[in-house]
Amino acid sequence: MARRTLRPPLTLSIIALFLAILVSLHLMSTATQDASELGEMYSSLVLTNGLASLMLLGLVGANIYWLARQLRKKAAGSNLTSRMIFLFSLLSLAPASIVFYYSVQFLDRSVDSWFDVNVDQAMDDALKLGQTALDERMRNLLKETEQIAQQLSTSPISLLSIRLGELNENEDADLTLFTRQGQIIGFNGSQTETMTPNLPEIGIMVQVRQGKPYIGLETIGHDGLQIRAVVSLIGEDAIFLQAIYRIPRQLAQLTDSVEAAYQHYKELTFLRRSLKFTFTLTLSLILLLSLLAAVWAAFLSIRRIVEPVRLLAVGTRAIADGDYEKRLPVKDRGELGFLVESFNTMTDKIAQARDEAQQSKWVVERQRAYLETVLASLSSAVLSFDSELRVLTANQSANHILHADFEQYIGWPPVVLCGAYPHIAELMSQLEPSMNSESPSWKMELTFNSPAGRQELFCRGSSLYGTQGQHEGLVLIIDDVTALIQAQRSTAWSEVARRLAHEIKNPLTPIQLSAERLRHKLAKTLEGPDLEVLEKSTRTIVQQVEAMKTMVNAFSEYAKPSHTQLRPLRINPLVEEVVALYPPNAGLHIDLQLDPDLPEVLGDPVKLRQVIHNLIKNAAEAMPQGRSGKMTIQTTFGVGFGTGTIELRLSDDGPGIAPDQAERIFEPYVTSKTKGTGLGLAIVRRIIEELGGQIKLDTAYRHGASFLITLPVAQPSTDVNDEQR
Amino acid sequence: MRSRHLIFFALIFLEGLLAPLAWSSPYGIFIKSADFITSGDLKTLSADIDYRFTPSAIKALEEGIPLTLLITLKVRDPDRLWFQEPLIEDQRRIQLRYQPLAKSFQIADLGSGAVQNFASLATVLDTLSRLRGWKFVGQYAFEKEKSYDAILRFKLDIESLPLPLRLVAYLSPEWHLETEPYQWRVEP
Repeated sequence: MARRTLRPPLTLSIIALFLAILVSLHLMSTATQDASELGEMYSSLVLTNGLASLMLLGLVGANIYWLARQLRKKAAGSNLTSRMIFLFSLLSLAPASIVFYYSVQFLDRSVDSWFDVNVDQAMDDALKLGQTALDERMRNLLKETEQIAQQLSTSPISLLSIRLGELNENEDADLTLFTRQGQIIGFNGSQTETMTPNLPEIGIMVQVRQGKPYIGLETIGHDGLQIRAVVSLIGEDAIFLQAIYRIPRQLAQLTDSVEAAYQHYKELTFLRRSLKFTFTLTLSLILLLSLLAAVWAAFLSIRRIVEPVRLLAVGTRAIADGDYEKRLPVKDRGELGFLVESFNTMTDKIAQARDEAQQSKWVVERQRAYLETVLASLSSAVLSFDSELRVLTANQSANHILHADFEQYIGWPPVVLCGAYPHIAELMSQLEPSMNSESPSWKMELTFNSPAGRQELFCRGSSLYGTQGQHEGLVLIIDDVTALIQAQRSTAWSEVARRLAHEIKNPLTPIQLSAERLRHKLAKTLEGPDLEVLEKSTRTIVQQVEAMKTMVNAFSEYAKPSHTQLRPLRINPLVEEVVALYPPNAGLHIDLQLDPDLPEVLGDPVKLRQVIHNLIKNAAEAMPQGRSGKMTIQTTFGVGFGTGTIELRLSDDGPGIAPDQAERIFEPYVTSKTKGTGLGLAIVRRIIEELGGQIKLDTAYRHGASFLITLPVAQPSTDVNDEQR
Repeated sequence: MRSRHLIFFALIFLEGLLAPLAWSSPYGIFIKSADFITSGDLKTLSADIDYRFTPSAIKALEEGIPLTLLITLKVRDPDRLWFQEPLIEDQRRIQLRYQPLAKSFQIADLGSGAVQNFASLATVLDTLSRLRGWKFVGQYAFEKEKSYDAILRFKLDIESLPLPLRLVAYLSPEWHLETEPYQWRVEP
């Protein structure tokens, strides 16, 4: 289950932030009003807004740092975000800066316009006017006070208090007599606010003691004024008279109003620069806070707007990297949300198509592997060609039968292949008319002169067609039927031999016996030439019958089923044993070239001796009269196709075998010699085939006859009887 | 014109930032002595203070800006932890004003409303320098035969200045006029 955090909607957060800022700024703005009760909160508000600005600055800074990192990492959507932020900041900063600039200008001029030289002068004049009006009154009152003091100075101290009451004619005056120590001697007046008279402060007393009378204006309460006069009594240094005269309320209010206005104006003048600073600071804070909040809100909003685009970029990158399982969360239901949904649908479909394609590919791969296995295990050569007769595919049997490595020439023109393998060129020349015929299927039997000898091939061709039915090439299947044809011939000959032996051998003995009986019976009765004729005829009969018996026995030998006992043996000692029977003076010099590292072969030693013996004998007999022959017997490890084999090559320098006989040299009664039964090579081939090997006449050998015997190597698991070693 | 202002504000701001570190001046408020005078069960505070206002403050006063002095007395029980409330805490707010019409100065006790007029600033400061018989509140909290720590502070209240001057005052060291906390042990 996905973890969900409880977060207020972005829009709500931004609105709340702006409201908070607006309230704070409004409070600050209100606080700057002169009469505002929020004035006391001004410092706190400035501090709060300053801190808020710093916090927002931090947030914006963090966002810029994040964006810079995203840009450095080339993260998806970072470019778009930075552009939008830049644009947004520029759009908000430009008008705000203009407004700020003109606001500061306006503020500056407005504050300056409050102060005027004329007003300044007027204010000073008004104050002086007030002071002059009061000064006149103060002079009169001082004179009046001094007169009272003069009259009091003539009175004895004990009567001073009474005398004071008599002299006080002014009902708004409070007269007090007091000593240097502040002891009140007498008081007369209407003051009832305080129990004790308000005595002058020390500064005044210092002045009076120096003989200078004091007169001064004092404020009482908010709008009341009084004049204080202090004089010393003449001749009585230690007694002072203080007179406090209340200024009429109307005059006091007027002068107070003038003073208040003057004071306010002076204060404003003094605070002129501070005022500008405060206003500018407030304005700057408002601008800064608004801008920072706007930029931060822009970051939040743009990140949210760009999020689907960023997700799409991430998704596209993932798909480009082959990740089709990527699903993007749909957070927005708008156009971008629709785009993300469409992207998810597209990814689903791509993934589905990819799966299907993989499935199909897998099926095709399996089919191909199956076909390859089948083709590889086929004994027939299977080749496919395109319409230009370039080889497209070839199985292992094709390489084996046609003695060529087709793998290296896949896709190459036939000329190249024929250049590399000249024997293939001969084959292709025979096949080419049929291959180019574009007929749906055809068959052909032909003789193929391969490097290993003559082969009988059975070829079948089938055309390949494209989806539009056009001819695109063909499949050629070639079977090596050499062995089959030879086996057929061999079987036929065996049958002939068996019947011959059966049909001819039986009457031969009675014929021989009858001839001997005739001679025995008639020899006694005949004499002279008749007896000679009889003797000669019967002898001829007996000899010919013997010869026929020998021939029939040979046939019988050829036809009868052999009893071969296969066992692992080493071929080299066997060859040496047989060769030892032919001393050098026997008219045939035998040169042995035996590979010492040969593995064992699977064979019957008796029959193998017979084979080698037959072939040596054949070579010796083939030599022209009076000429010493030379024979080479070679054993090598065959590295041909399939499993390991051992090759035994017997070559002589005799007259060789005529090309017209070469094809059938292993068939009975095919011989180049004047004597013999013509069964020698037929028997040799039969033995070799019984041993699982092959014998071929190397037609390429031009110095005489050369036979190549191939025998299979004994498998390591075979139970080895090591007698031959 | 505007750039001059900006430079001025920038300098003030910079000065304000550096003020607490670098300001060392002959101006300020200094408490020379302070003690409680016991008369019967009543304790009153007497103190001698030396006021050395900066030219800015004096000029402001003469231009009609009232200056408010905040006098704070705290008495702490030494047995209490430092973060606990003090045993006694009392404040007096004394305002100095200039009367342009009368060309006189005035001291007003903002707590009691008592007003005193003076012919010159010297006599004002002379009067203010002798704080006598302050009957602070919370005297009942004293226990006999127990010692206490008394702390007295004088400072110019920037918050009482006119609003436009407040920020400048906060940022300018010339307006930071206050005493170091004057502390003495009140023996039983």
